Amino acid sequence: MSKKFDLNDDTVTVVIGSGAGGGTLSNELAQKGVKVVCLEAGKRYTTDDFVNDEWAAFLQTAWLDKRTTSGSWRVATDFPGLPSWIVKSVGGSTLHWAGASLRFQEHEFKVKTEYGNIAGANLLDWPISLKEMEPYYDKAEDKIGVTRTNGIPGLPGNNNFKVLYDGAQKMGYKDCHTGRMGINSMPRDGRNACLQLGFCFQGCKSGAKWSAGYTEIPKAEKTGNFELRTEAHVVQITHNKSGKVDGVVYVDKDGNQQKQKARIVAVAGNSIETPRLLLMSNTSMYPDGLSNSAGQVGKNYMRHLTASVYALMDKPVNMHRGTTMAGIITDESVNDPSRGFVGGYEMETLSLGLPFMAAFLVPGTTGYGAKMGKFLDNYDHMAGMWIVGEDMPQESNRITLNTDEKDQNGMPVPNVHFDDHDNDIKMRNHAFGKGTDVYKAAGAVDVYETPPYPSTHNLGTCRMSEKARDGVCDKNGKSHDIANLFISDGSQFTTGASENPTLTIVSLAIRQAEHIAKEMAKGTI
Amino acid sequence: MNNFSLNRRAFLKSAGKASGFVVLAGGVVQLTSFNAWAAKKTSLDSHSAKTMLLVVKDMFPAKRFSDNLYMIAIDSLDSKAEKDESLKKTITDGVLAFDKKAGGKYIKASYKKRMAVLKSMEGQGFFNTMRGEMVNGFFNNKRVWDVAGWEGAAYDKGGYYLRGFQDADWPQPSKKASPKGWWE
Repeated sequence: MSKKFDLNDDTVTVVIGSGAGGGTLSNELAQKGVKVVCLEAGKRYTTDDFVNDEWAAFLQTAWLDKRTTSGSWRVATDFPGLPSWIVKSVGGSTLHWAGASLRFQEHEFKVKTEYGNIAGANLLDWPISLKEMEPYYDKAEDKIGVTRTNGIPGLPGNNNFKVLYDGAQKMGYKDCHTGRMGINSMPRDGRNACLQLGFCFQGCKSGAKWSAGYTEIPKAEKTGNFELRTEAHVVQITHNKSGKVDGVVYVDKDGNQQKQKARIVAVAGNSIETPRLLLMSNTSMYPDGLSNSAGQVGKNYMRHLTASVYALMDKPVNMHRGTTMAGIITDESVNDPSRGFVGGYEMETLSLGLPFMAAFLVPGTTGYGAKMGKFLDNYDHMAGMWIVGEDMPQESNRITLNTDEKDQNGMPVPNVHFDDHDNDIKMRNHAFGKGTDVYKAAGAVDVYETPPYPSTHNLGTCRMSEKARDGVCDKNGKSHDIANLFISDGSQFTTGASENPTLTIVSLAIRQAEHIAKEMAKGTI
Repeated sequence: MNNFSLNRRAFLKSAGKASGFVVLAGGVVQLTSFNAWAAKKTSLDSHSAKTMLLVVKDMFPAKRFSDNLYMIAIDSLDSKAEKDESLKKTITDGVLAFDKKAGGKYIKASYKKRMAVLKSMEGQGFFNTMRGEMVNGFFNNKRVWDVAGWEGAAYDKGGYYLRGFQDADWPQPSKKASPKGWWE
């Protein structure tokens, strides 16, 4: 049923990437009768292919193409070649996501107004409000099947949640529950209910977790308007004499270059690859890369605050049994500058298996010693949470092309530069304190305050802005410079908010598909 | 906030001494099992093997891990060194360097001295080899999982929804916070 389009068919919309943004956009467009060719750099895996094995799954699905890092963030020291922990596969990082599906709050769409001028931060209000986003959040929640929406019950909380909940009660937190999750608590949309496997990060073998690879993509294929090409790594977006984009060049699985013509190009390669591709597509007409007249492509890279607190409890927990992100405390996700910083953070349970715990509890060469031995020895007594907070956009945090290093296709690799903002550090320290208190209240005998892992939430870098001079795309994700070029992933985020980004990426993709189909019908693109 | 931070620091400090989790820091290598095992080594000499065993015990001291368990890491390096001259050299040179830093033999040095040796060797060849083997090999070994209490793959056993995902001895959250499962 999957359609096959000709390379010279210049009526197709080319979508680059098949994750939360690209996968959703592809399906939404195909459902509306728009012809779509989706180019995915990775391979296609089914739930049968997923493995309950941390390192094997990592090697199977992680984006491991060469990258470099710089800046004062600790990831650059501990994981210099792995700035992010994202997926190269059909479905993109929705294969790996834990499922947290939270709406942004009203104030988080207008942080410049709410927070004022923060030195060193490049804050900007989104050109779109929560009110405008609400109908699309509704659609995205229905599509994903988010628990605690649309009459879908919440998930039952596991052992890790029981510990978090006990600590939260004793701390006086008011809002602690098993979250709004893109994981089926009941069978829905042809997918199973959650079996509490505990391998959410490795690809959900039961298919209970929403993942674009086995929801959006097969649905798009059924329309007859959609073709997925896997192991198709786009290296350039081309344009015509008038400056409009007219196709893409990609390297296929045999290493041959192919050219696909296009009426519209939508880029959804995650916030590192998307700006990299725009920068690599420079020409004499666009010497600084596509959509970069304001010089904003690659800038304002955000990765969420992130940190983890792992506790050693006085009794066995077995946190690994059941969903990885089993519950949430939202009380600190408010803007209360009296805490010494702007913005807020979520506390969400997180568990790693023993192999990853050994690698990530204390990353880098200092990860050894009596305390670490004690934690790993008593793995079954551990409980853990992840902290997701709003980090400040900074112009100097950016993706650039490192022309000294080449990838497998001979293209310059992306360099990821990041320094924490003072606000980020204050927030992280506050969150470490509160996280420690939660576990202490629940009976911890010791805790680790674990620094950030390679980034899973990669945001900004092609941000949407009302005025062309402030960003890369408009409120529909359309390039400020090129009328038929769209940004369709988390790169669009003007600011990061304190919530996990997937629900907002999916909502924006649904909204963008509506916009594109409407404009195509009008003949404006 | 200041008081709070101080309290936290005090807690972190005191927690290290909390009873119930006192770690036997490295210490003696049980010789009986060691000798039987060392006789089977192909590329490592007995002194190197013994030093390596104490290094990994010092790096990740664990009450539940027997010397036999730790030997998984040394066995693995022994097999690799058989086919890899540069690894063998890293090990041989590293053991020499550790002994030198310890002012005699690493395996005869005090715990405090050995910790100082490890600290001074962070990020260097032999140190990285040993830590890397532990992090990427040892803790990815099913025998170690069984002892530490990680249960590995779950799908083939039907997941945990009927196998103890809520059995931790903490109060059961409210039904609103944690609704019942689909099977209930």
